[in-house]
Parts: sequence; structure tokens; C-alpha cells
Amino acid sequence: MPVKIRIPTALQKLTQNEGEVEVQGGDVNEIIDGMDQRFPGFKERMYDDSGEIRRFINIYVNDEDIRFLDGSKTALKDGDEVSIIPAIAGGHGVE
Amino acid sequence: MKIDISPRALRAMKRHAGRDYPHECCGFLVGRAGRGGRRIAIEEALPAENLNRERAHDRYEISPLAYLGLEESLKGTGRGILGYYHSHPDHPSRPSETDLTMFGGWPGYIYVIVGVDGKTAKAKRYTVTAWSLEEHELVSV
Repeated sequence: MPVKIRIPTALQKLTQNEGEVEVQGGDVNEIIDGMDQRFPGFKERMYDDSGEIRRFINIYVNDEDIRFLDGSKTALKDGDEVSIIPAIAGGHGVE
Repeated sequence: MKIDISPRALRAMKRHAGRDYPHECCGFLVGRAGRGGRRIAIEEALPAENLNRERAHDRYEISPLAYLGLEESLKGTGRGILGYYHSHPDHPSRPSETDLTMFGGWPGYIYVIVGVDGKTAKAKRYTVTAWSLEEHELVSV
């Protein structure tokens, strides 16, 4: 089932400057694998050493944050749109 | 890397920083990148809501959905989101440890910091620096 992936500008160097890509996959993990097969190195940018999605990265499925769904195991269906969005936060304060 | 910030964008960032003082403000940098990303033209600075209301005095956070909405609106215009700006009230316009951690996660973006000195003189003073992650180091551009 093809799923549309929206790639943020900062990651488009990895996807040959493509901002939207269609990939087959039944859940978020599978489509990231699919992206990595097509664009080697993509997966490494998405997961940390423990195999979790990096905390700087938000993934939305049809405008819903996967953290409130089933995480990287969130099931996908034909026509779903997956958006990879950078976490944008900071500030001069210390912890 | 060569970065140009339009006078309009600069004015908008300073205005936003001054208006939100003593809290941190934040927003998007919109424009065009050329020459393989070596030449950046920031045309507009668009304000975003700071979601971190509890620590707005020293932290900012921009909604991912705001990013998505803006990116959608820029489709087909030839312009994109080149990075983000935020302010440091009464603090230098240099990335903090927190900023460095966040910037490090997203090389390829430009980060502009507006330092606002609201205590030294009657009128607020502004310093603006732009940063980019190059070769694993943040550099002033």
C-alpha cells in the first residue's frame, strides 16, 4: 500500500532533493526501511542507538503525532500521508 | 556559506523580539537556497507562537503543525523554510547549550538569534547572529 512521505527541507539532501516520496509499507517502521532502501543513510538519521525515533524528530500520520498512536508501529493504510517534522525548541535557559 | 537577511526580515525579527521581551520569541525563516545550499537568502521572518508558556522567559518551542502548515503554504512558490529565529532576552545572541543540542539535531538549517538588552539603556538594544551547522560545528555565518 503506497504511502506519501513528506520530507523536511533539512533531510532532502538525503532524498535527492525530493520533498515528497511514495513508499510501500504497513507501518511507520516499514516505510522508514523502504526509504532507507531507496535512499541509503535515511534510517540512520531517523533512529537513535537504542532503535527509537530520535527525539528531535516528530512523525505525524495524517496530522496525528505517532506518539499518541502506536509509535513507530503505527499502522498505515493506502493513501495515508506521513510527515517528518523537525522538533523546534531551545532557548538560553539551563536545565 | 553566504547568507543574506533581507532588511524586512531583520526588522520583523527585532520587532517581534522587542514586543515579546522579557520572554523569548520564535519564528520561521523563509526564503531561497542556491548553489547547493551555499547561498542562503532569507526573505521573510514569520512569527510563531511560543508553546513553552511555563518557561517563556528562557525557552521556546514551535508547534510541528505550524511547521507543516507553513510548508504546505509555501509549496510551488520556490521558497522554503530555511531555519528558525528566536530571541535571548538580556542574554548574548549566541547559542546556549540547549540550543546547541537542538541545532545539532538538524544540520542544514539556519538559526538566527536576536539578543535583546532591555536593561542597560532606556531603549532596547538588539544584536543578531546567524548560525549554521557545518562540518559538525556551529559557525557564525
